[in-house]
Amino acid sequence: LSWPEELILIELVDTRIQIEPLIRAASRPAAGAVVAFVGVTREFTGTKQTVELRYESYRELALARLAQLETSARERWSLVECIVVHRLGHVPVGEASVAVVVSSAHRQVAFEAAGWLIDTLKRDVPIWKQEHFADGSREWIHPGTSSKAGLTAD
Amino acid sequence: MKIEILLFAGLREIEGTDQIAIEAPSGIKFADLRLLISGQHPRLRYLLEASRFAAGNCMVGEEQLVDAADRIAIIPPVSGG
Repeated sequence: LSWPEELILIELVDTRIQIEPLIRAASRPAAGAVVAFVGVTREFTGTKQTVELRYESYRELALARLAQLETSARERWSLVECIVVHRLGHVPVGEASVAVVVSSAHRQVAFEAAGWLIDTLKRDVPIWKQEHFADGSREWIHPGTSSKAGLTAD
Repeated sequence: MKIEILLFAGLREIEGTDQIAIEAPSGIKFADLRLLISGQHPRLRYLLEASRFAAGNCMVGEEQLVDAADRIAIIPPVSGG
């Protein structure tokens, strides 16, 4: 078997995220730990029932920011692989919207890097979700703002 | 100069289009552009206040000068993940 020197995998996809191939890609001889975080569409937020989420991105800027996150993560931690895949469009309840898969020699580093990557992605990368609720209403999620701004459409 | 500005998510939905154009004097800052947008597109005002600007693949500060040749966008608070 031959292994590429460094696999860079940052993707925005319109189809279902397959976790297994990502974990296989991160499982390399130098890695003793592979940590995978998978964000999935949750059915209930309080009493509001979600049917699906719809994601949109500013693709060029999102890809640039994700590449910067990978660079920062690799500067901060010694990583073997660093994979971030975000799904766009419709993501029904129970399906994955995002996967962060990180491998390193030891688990502590992989846990820390994966946690930092998903936290920073959620705060910094220009991707937005719109909740589609069971009652037919929908709402763009813009943290720190109120949905009374005309964002809620029935 | 005519400045074309990309809209996303809630901003796009409020305005009903993914791009607006603002006529502005050259040499203005993003802080000035914010005021112009706010005046000409009052429905965007609330969410615009919580948003930042991007030019090309960079986030920009309020004091930076606007170059109409750049790909300019308003980035409302993000909610990926």
